[in-house]
Amino acid sequence: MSNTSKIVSRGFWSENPVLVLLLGLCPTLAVTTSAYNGLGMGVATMAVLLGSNICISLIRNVIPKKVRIPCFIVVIATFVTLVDMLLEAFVNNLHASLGLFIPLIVVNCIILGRAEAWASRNTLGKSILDAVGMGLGFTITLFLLGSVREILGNGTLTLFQFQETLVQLRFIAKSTDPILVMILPPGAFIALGFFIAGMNAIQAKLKKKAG
Amino acid sequence: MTDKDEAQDVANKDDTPPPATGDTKSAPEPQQDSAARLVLTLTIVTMVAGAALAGAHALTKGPIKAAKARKKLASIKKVLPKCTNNPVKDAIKVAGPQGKTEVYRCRKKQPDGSNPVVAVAIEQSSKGNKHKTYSGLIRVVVGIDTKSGKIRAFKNKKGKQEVAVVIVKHSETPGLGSKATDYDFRKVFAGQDLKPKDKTSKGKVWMTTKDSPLGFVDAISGATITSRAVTEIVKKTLIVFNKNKTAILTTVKSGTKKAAKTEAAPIQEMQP
Repeated sequence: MSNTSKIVSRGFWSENPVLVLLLGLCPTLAVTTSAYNGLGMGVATMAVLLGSNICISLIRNVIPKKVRIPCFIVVIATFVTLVDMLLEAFVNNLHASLGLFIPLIVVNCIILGRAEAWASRNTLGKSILDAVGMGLGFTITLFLLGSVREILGNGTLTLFQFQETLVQLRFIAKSTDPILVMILPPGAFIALGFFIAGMNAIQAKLKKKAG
Repeated sequence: MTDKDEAQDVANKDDTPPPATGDTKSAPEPQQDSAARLVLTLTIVTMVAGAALAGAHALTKGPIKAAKARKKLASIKKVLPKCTNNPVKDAIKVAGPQGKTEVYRCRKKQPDGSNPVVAVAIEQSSKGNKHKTYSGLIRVVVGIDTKSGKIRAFKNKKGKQEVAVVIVKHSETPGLGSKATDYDFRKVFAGQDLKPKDKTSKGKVWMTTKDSPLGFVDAISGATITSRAVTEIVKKTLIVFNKNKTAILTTVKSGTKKAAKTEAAPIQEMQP
């Protein structure tokens, strides 16, 4: 039991994909201009991660080592395309708001990273747990990063957005200019830097306490 | 030792799993992989993937097409008044600055029984624009009143003033260029035609105030590029309408029998 929770919780803290492993930075930096975008990317990534981890864990003993990477890539690309097509056909609303991010997931190194480092070496159950943990860790981190950038850079916090429907909290009055740089590309690096620094500071403090 | 064996040794060394953080008990034993096995495995994997995708494609083709049509109709409906016909089915293709362009026609039954085109929706994109966008393509749907030839202004369902200029797709910077989708920016196009006028009915030109003292579009601060691009796209929709006005008003679409019948009268009237 403790082993189960350990596998899942790793993704949140000790092996957080964005803040510790520094994987998948490309989508992280590019799409976290708003909280909702971060959330959408996180959820879509988690879905693909779950699918690819399950598949790869199932075929791990059949695939020769030398061609494993091409095989993983094929599995991941297939999954991304499947998710893309199914979303577009049956949950068109969601696809309209996530559409941009879905093809990007193929090049997200978290997916290949987890396939290579975990799913290809572990049982189905453990691979599913790993995907859930990593996926949730990624989603939460992206959501927080997007929230901070959006609040500072646009004065708002978008929780849901589709066409006319918009659930948005406003933190800075419309007449005041927000810190625009935070939603521009440099702001992504600045925010991520502070996030990693903060995480390291907390980690160091925890170590001191324990030691 | 042959070259092949050597290569395999190196490969196997590279492949030894690093001291993993997790469970490595179930890691597969290093296998003796013949070339044939490698080829076979990859072939099977890609074939299964291909089959899965082909199946999913066949399954989702219909729903995707229907969803796309629904979406298109929704954005067109946004810029048109209530119609007695289906504007998507009654669309005609005309020549425009971007080649063949679809014009969606909205008809309204008149007291005399005729069913003329009262408004059209035209979509243009930033493709071929003189003023480039900041990033990616911008697509705009504009609703034009056929009688006056002006961009429609109306009250929406909530009773708020709206203008029939809808940016259906863009990837401009959020918070900067994305402000072009706000009514505050778009409202400048309300009631304009190819000879724009300002509030005091003074003649203006289709430009931003930054590019010409005669421009009437107040550019968004920090997003002049986006403002210029959108202004040019909206102008293009008006060009499409003005160049093809007669075709838009008179062409009877084959296949829409009902529309053709009710339409026959006004066409004859218009012919000299």
